[in-house]
Amino acid sequence: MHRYDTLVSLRVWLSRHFDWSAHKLYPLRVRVVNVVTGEAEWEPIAYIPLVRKQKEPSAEVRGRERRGAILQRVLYLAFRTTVVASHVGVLYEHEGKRLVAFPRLLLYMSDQPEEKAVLCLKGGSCQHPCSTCVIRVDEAGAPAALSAEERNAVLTVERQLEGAAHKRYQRESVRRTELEAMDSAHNRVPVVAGMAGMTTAPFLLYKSIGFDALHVCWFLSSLCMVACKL
Amino acid sequence: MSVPPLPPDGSHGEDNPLIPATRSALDCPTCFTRCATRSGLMWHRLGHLQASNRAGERGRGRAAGRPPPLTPAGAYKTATGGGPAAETRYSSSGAKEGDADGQAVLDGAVAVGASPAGSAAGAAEAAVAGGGANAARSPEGGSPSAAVSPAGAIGGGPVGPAAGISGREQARTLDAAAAAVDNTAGPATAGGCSAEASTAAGADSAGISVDAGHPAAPGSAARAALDPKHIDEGVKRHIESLLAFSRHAVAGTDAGRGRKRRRLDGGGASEGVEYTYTTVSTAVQALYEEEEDWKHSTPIVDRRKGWRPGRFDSFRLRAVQRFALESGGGGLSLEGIEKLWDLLDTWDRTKPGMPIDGGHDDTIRDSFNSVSDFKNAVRDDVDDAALGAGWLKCPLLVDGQTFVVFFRPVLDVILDMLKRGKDVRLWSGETGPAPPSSNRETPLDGDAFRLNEQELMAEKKDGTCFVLGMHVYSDASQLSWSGGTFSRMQERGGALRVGLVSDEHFCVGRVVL
Repeated sequence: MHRYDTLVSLRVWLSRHFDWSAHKLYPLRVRVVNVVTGEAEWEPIAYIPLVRKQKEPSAEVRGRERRGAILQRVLYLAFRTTVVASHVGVLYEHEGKRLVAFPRLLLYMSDQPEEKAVLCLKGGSCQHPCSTCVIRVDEAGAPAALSAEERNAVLTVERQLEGAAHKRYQRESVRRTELEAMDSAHNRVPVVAGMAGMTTAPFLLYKSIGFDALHVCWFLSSLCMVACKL
Repeated sequence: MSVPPLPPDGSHGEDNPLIPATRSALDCPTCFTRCATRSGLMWHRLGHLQASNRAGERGRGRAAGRPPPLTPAGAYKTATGGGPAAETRYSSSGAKEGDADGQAVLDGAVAVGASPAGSAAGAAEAAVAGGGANAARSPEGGSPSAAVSPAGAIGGGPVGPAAGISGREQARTLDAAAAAVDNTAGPATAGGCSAEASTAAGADSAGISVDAGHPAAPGSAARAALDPKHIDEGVKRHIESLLAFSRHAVAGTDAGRGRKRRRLDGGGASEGVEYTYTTVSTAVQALYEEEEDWKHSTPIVDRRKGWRPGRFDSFRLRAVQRFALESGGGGLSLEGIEKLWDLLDTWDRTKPGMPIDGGHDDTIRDSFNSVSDFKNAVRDDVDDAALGAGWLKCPLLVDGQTFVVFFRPVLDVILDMLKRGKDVRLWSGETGPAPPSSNRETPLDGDAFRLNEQELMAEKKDGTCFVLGMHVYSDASQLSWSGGTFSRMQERGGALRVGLVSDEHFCVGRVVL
């Protein structure tokens, strides 16, 4: 079957099983930068269910927990083989030569809520609101922010691992709260940290995430308007 | 300078009654030869090291990671003539046939080591790389899990808490260990390998695969890499070996556990054993492996009984199928009417330039007996497309609720994209990694790609390795919350965003952040 027909067929299959008008799934796509075509070819790799809060006690918190857990587990399912291949490589035949490819995640484009969810960082009002540095919220926007220390990928993920272990065994609740406050990160572990190059050299975990241009467009334009008025 | 050696048990024998049964700092700990001076002892011990290095015992010390030299058999015999340790090792390792001495085993090892990987001799090569003589010795059947005893990590590197070990070194150590187990779990151990033998195998192979300060053996990266034809088995084996090598159970898991059980945390505390891991990335993998989601994933659809895809085998029929797939909703739009015209034009065989195939003159009844037959044919093709693309589904149980997710392994997708790609660039430079630059013409010019390239080449030191960079893009929650639907409008929006972002790729994040 032609590739276009394949994609259409998949969409038809999904539409048969799910009501798109309720937008219960959103897609995750991937592209390979080594293939130089001049056009961006994006292949869907996962459809992530949209988790809504339900009528229950602490619905907001529990909904957020579920969303974060679902996202990470879907990411792990999709990237499971890639994570292993990023460490040991995968054989690839190119023009008769036998090469070893080491996949690396260079960029994860998303909007800000998903950025925080992918990195398991707190997204609301917290002490360290920035995803790339540990600037405190009361210093953000001040000159001190220019020289703020960058997030340490290994240290932060280690704390997240410790917090996740405490959470799993339901112990050390004070320590859990303390760990969350240190980096404004959830006690959950980002799957992308398992890829080589994220928590190993060159430690690009917090530099590989990027905003979708359209999603920040309104924000930038608003910022510009405010700046002009000031 | 030296006196006759003491017996290993420290007691003097009947033929040497004058030698005292005491140990001195000038005694060689290997052969108990007493030297007159400290420098004499050092020179004596160097003789042992040279002999063992030639014999291929290269899992420790400065020789770790270097391939065994292709020493002629005669040279080895001369060099190891006085090396009792080496002699003992090889005579025992080559004892499978009962009459094979150490020399014969070493010769075989050197000869096989030069054979290309992947050939029939590859099994023996893996065995040699990982102490194959030992692996071949044991008669009982072995399993990959038996090959990954924790003791096997001793030669491969330190296994313990993460403190004090840099991330890169840890990753290397574990990768090498895993590679070693991959080798031992491969064809070399098909005939069986005891736990003891495979421990030694893993340790030696770990030393050969990767080393912090010396170039890896040529082709070691390819030997340790996943085979695209058997990715699942390779990944499973790697993860099993990785976990076995790098994790340690934590004593006193219950310490500090709260009395209250919160429903928010998933309904109860885990009762499983808690482990620590040597690297962060291993811990992340282990954490999500314990969820066992992968085991619960299944193909996205079950094939219908009497499944017959591919019955739309002519141009006209495919046009009909495409119409059936694309129309829907509350009636045809203007665009839909255009498609309908195109369909009818095709069905009447009047479309300019349409090809003429075997079904050119067939009617719909010639291909399908009834409307249900037609519907089944469409459905089979849709299912076949979804299955052929490698889509899987998996129910995830989170906080008492089940969510079904759909996914496909990214590695398969990107390898397929590489295969389909007409213009594939392996490195940022022409024939290898290029130095950092301020150019931003392609994503390969980005800092992320080049930093990864530098680290990879510094670690592997193998010209066959390259970085396979990928970008991930998500139509994320914000988009879904906006009230949009998965319609053509949204697809166009997605394409527009992709266009914007792909032009700026990595810089987008930088500018905004």
